[in-house]
Amino acid sequence: MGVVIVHMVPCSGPEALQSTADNLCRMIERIGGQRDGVFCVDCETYFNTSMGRTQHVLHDSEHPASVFSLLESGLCLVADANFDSLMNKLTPQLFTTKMGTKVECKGPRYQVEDFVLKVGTVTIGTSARGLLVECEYQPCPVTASCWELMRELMESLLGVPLNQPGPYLALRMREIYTPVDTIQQYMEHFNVLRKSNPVQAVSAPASGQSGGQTNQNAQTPTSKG
Amino acid sequence: MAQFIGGAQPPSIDPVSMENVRQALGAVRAVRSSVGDVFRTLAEGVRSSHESEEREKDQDFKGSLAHSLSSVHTKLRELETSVQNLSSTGGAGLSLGSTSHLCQDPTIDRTSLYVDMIKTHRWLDRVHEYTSHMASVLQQNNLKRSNNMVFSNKRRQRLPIATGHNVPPQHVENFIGGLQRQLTDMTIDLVRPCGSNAVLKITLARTLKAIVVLRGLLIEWVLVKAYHEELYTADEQLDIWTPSRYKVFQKVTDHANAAMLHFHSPNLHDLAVKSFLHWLQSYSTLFSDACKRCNRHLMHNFPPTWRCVRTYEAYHETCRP
Amino acid sequence: MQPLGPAVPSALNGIAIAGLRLGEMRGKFEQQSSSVRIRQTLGGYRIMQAEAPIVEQPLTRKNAANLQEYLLQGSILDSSADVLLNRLRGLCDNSDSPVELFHDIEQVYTIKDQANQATFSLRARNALDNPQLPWQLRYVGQPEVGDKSRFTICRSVIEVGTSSNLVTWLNELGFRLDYEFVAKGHIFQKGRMKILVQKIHRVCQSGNPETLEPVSQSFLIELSVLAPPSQESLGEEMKAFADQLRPLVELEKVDHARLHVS
Repeated sequence: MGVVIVHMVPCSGPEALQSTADNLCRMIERIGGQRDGVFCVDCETYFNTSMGRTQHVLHDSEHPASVFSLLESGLCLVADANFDSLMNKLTPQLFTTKMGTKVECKGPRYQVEDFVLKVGTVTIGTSARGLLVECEYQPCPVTASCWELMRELMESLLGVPLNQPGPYLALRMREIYTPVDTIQQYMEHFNVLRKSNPVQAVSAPASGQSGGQTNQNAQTPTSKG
Repeated sequence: MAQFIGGAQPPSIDPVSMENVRQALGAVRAVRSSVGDVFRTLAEGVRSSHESEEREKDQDFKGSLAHSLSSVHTKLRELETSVQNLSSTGGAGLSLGSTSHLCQDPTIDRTSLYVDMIKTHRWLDRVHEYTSHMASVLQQNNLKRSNNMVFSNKRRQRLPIATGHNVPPQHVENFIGGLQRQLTDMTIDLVRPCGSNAVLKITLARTLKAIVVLRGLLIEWVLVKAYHEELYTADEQLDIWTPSRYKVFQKVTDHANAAMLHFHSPNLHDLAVKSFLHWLQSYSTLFSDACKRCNRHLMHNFPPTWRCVRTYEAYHETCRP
Repeated sequence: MQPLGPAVPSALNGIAIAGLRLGEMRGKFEQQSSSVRIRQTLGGYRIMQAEAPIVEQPLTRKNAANLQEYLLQGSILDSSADVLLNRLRGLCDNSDSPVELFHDIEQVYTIKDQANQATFSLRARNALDNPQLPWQLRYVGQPEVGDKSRFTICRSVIEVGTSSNLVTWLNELGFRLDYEFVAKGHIFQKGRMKILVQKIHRVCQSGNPETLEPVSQSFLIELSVLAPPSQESLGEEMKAFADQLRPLVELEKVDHARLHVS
């Protein structure tokens, strides 16, 4: 388990998601990436309205036997796959889910020497919201040691300067990296994408925002990448 | 004729059958000597000195011949009985010592010990053969590396004999302990998994783990792995063979082996180990150092994996000075 | 409500699986091998990473098979426990290896949902003798005892192996500690059956599992199998095994609801 950085790729609008993703994949192949399958990270949110508690349940295809339960406080419980059946038991009496809140990040997975690169399109419900790139450097267990190294790779791929690590990761630069840290980073991005409405999700210049009120149906085709 | 070659007396562990064997051999000897007598009598023949006594002599000769023949006969019978004794006590022909018990192991199919042993013997035989060939070939082609033959004899006497491989374990321990104090971000565990030769388990900061196999104070083998890779196999054995899963560390292992050879010196063995470990310490910043030459972190998707053996500076494999 | 009065029967109700360590044994039932998985989950990410990720099927297992626990219970006095242990050792698998021991603490957490007045309880279990092992979170459903044709208690059970921050997680979700106990004993396996011979202790001082006091002068014996529902042949199998332990111990289905009343 090496260090993982999850980075949101700016793109100019929901329509451009697919082409940006394709470009990125081409770039990765150009630097020697071998495609080996697809990946998926999903997140289902459960509410307990009477107690006012929220629980996010995440799965990561990189850890297929684990389920991650993330609470509002940031506490993350790692459980095995039976956790899903447990949630089925507790739903709907104790927890409820809202339709169309399920977040999924799906896309191809590449191996480049010791790096693993993943390009994932994020869909919330049925609408495509954003593009995430996950970069894992497997030999190194501490983020601070290999941050510059990964930054160099990401910058050469994305063609834009990379800002500092996200708020969660920034606090844990010197710790030994764990898979929970990956989940927390995804959650950070999912929260940003959820709060924003479909078009503001795009962190790029306003040029693409003229079609601001695009409804969700219009975006569905994009998500079926 | 009467000479006896002792014969290959089969070594036996059983004292009773030993006695039998000795008896049988004695019998053989007796038969041989009596047969010898017969031939000697025959060879001497009838002495024809006096014609008058010819008849008497003839009679005499026949008598002695008949006597020796009958003694052959009795000796032969004795031999036969002792042979019978031998076979009845069942001395199992050629004894293999305790190895013969291997055959009696009912689970021979499962323990391939016997087969392995035979293979080992063959292998040893072959090694022996090859070495003797090699020795003769080398003797014919004497290597002369230095031209100044004049001094060579004196110098050879003055040179201390390389003893790096033969250092008392206590000394190795003290020496490594001393090094440990100098190398602060490196933890060195000294273990002796097989016999007296030490294996160093090194953890360098949070960057890498390394295994250094020593023979005395000579470095024999270096293996570098990631910080989070396991050094032990599933059955708790120290795994000094499996290479790292990561390409970076496979490269570092290669460079470390090259450096190990570079630092090697037959007489200053402690200096060799010391400078090797100091060189290895420079890898603590393997992921954060930029290449001294191109000032970049990545080259062909690898960090600078090579360290200069003199200055400990980081270079990409292809940027080496 | 006396603090200890109801605790004993409900403890009886609850203790079924000291299965944290059973992982190795349980390889047969895929869905159950929680400790094997969790070992991978917590300790050995590498193992899982080595496999190519599978995304063909959705990661959320909505239709994961609900497992039923088939359970028989009984008890034996301390003085006779050794006889039973010897017999079990002979009857069960792996009789040549030493008997596996366990020493677990189980804490029962409940939550009351104000909206629909429903009470849920979850059990957190941890091995005291080996804290490295994953924690176990269990959901135990209401037992079906009424069915006379069935020989065993039948209840739905979900076992989840988790990381060690389970208790904090439960507290943050609003669960509160109801009661706790420590179970010490021996664990046997026979085919897919699991046999526990255990001594239940109450924890005198909450949060300090060293201060123990045995609940009774006897051992609790449980014979259980986790399997998909409606496996009728299982009942026969368990009955046959229970008969072999007679007259040392009578394993039968215990109606916990009735115990509560009396």
